[in-house]
Amino acid sequence: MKTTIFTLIIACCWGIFTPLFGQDFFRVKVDFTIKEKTAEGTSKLTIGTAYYDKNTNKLIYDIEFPEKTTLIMVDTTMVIIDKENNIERKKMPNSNRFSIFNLALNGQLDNYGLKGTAFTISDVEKSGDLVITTWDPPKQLAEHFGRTIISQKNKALYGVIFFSPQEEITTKQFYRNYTNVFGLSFPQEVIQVVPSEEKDFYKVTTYKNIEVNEMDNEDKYNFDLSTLEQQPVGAK
Amino acid sequence: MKKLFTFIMALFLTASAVQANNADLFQLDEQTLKVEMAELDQLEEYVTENNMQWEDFQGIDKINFDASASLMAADFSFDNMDWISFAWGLICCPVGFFVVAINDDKTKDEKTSYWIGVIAGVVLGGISSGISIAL
Repeated sequence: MKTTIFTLIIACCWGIFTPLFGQDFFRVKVDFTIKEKTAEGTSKLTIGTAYYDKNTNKLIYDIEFPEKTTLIMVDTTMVIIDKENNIERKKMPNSNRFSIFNLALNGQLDNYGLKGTAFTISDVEKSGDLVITTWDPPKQLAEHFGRTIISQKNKALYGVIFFSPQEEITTKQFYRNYTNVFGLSFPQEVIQVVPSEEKDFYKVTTYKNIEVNEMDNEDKYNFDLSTLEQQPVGAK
Repeated sequence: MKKLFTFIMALFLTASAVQANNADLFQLDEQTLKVEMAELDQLEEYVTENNMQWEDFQGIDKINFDASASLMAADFSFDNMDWISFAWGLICCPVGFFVVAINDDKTKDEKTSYWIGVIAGVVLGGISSGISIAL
């Protein structure tokens, strides 16, 4: 009898927690901070929260600093809602699939989302605790991109180096301080370095308070853009 | 035999140099990074603790939240946020996106090529305002 009850309890716990501890990650909420020293010589700080649902492919940024702004990115549209509820729409290519959020949810962050694309591996080497893979671009992009070198440490994405077609390093990225949230591995710090002759420029993005498959912000994930059409005076 | 040995040694040394170079590419100057981010780290802490917006700083000549620091020592820019560049800056793998873009029959046109050229410059070249200029 005791064994049966114990088995039932274990089975119930498995049924409840498997969606969290299993590989079915479909939603992520994260607080972010972006600190940037630009090539123009200015410093920029952006603080906010990001919400992403891969099933709806909707990405929402709630910006708190420098000023309250909401960005909603879905399909080829970016909607910008400022603190006075003025609405602006911009067209941009559908890029949510290649956001850090979607790549992490789909377990593609370790290869930077290049696996399965037209990029091809030309070299793999091991150096110390790094596994370094060189990816060559397809011919159609050879005019704009050179090779991309990706390094992994402990099977997690560690660094990315972009080269121009002229073999100059254009950007470096570093992914570190990984945290594990119910089985989802996510970097808490992404550092981007843009080299130049005089001075390197840095951009540091930090992620914290990462929540996976949370259900407390349905209004965010299910934001209906069609409701914006009904906005009264003040909407652009 | 001597020539063969020399050739093999040259090949080995070249391969070793390449391997060392690739690993060296992933070195990060932590000290410079710390110095570069110092003012922004302080601003972040101040803004977070005081729940401030940028407009709260207007008209204030000098803010001392640390005896050794001043906000006005750095040139902070919060005007005319380029939200598209901001969004692209958070795209993890822009190069992957471009592959999708060029393979998509619906977008195989001049506009796609234009976007690729512009975004490549912005994302990979660290130009923060390229897309807004392009638009």
